[in-house]
Amino acid sequence: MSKGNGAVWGGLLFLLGALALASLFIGRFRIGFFSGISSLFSGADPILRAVILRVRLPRILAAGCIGANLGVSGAVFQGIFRNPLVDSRILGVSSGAAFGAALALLLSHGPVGVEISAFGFSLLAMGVVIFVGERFGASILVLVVTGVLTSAFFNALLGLIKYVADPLDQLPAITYWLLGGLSGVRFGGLWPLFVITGLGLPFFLLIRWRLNLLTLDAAEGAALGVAVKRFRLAAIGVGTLLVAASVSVSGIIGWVGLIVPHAARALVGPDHARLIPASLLLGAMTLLALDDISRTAISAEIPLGILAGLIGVPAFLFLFMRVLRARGGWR
Amino acid sequence: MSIRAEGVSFSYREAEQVLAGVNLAAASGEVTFILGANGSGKTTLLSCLVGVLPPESGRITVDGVPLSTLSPRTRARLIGFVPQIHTPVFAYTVWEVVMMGRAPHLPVLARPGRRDRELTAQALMAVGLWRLRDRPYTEMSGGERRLVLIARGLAQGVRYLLMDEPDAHLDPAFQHRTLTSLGDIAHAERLGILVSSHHPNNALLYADRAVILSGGTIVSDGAPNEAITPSVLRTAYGMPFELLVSGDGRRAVLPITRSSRSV
Repeated sequence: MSKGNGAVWGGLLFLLGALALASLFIGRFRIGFFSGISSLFSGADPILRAVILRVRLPRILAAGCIGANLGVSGAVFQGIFRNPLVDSRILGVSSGAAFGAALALLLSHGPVGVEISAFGFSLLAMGVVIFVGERFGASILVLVVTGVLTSAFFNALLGLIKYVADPLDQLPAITYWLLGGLSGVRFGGLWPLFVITGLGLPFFLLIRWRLNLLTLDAAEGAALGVAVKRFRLAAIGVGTLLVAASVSVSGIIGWVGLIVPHAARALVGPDHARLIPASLLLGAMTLLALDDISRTAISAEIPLGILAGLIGVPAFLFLFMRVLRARGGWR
Repeated sequence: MSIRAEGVSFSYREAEQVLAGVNLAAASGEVTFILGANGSGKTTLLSCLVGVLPPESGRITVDGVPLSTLSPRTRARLIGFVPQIHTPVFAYTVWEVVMMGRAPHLPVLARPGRRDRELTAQALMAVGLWRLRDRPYTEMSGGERRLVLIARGLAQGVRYLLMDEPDAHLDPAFQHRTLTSLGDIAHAERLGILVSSHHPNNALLYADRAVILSGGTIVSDGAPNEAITPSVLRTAYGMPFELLVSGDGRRAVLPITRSSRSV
């Protein structure tokens, strides 16, 4: 039943807002709360102003968008595949992005080239899955097998690139990209992410109740009047776009798309009408927090992919054990 | 007013015809049982009637309208399907599962509104599950899950409800409860209910009408007491049965075993 969980939503929104605001003042370059605020309006301290507006703000917006995208697409993919252990990596999108980025780095392209190449190849990976799904019925088996094969193929290509890359500068750059991070992010490269996020997240928010029907058996969904194949492929297409736009900016960040939907389910239940907005807010919060830690914990930046595993996995284990204890099972 | 199959044929593989010219009608306000051996095509026939499998030849009409001319949504407002027990991956509450029945009535971007909540509540009350509405579906017994799926079919607001073995895996009391409430709902709401079953005795007790499927065609069709005879059952199941009549005139069939033959 849709209970009036006003406190939960209010709490999530408040926390996200507070975290985003606080993130403006967190980093190696110290900014006091009041001096930061006043610099924004007075222009007395141009360096302070530049750090806030040109370095921290784009980074915070990117972290928020990417976290929300990974959280929502993770929830959607878990529903489509009727498997709570799935995230966007199941379809080979991340592998496509990883190969695309590595290829661009091998060819010595700058950040924009890397982003475009990563995005392009993740769309190619998605294209293979959707092409096969469209022709052979988009059953879960067809999608998973095609996704795993696509992923394996791009991983082999990635291996090839690492093998031939110059071990002194190209290979470390590729490795660094694969570990994920937002350190170099500026507004200029973010517009594709903002546009795709701005279209994709509202799409899932609007159809969020209907996503419940995607978690049913195909024949059952069909008997409820759902065009299962078309709906599945559309959801996969939009979900993949969100992931592709995200990882082409940040590099590969695992675990967020897997863990966030579980935390959201523990908080608001499995009904997608609530699960999708909760995954959105929790995903954004998670990546903001991880990025804050990444840029402050030690004097060098810790790659986000590593942090997501280091913090995400124990957090998931903790959640897992709590739910097991409270409910006697994992659902 | 009926859902009707005329000369419906279907095969999964060439040269292996599952349905070979099936003629059948399930009327509103009645509970119709389809009996037949394992692999006789009961589930295939239901899938054709629901519109999930298109028949190779023949036609299916709903209240005179050819099924193939209806969009999936329109079809789902007329015909509902209750699958055999399934376990969903996610722990939806009973309320949420039943609410999914409202899908064909809602625009793609809409979420359920007040009217949908009212109909969901009514459906839950009709099957006696109102008090369990906030329970996770995954934590319910097989019998209760069956009732939840029936409630979802009711919330769907259809004219015909097709069910794949609603009496399988249930204890006698739950079979009685489920099949009696199906009859009550069919008669009160003028709903046409078509169920497949492996229990001739349930058809004799609870059906308004029984059809027996064998060799891809209907071999018997009529009021249960007339349609279900030892000779028809022998054709359908390939073994002998005897008919028993109780003191108050109710009928039942029993398989003839070696010991009963010797007596």
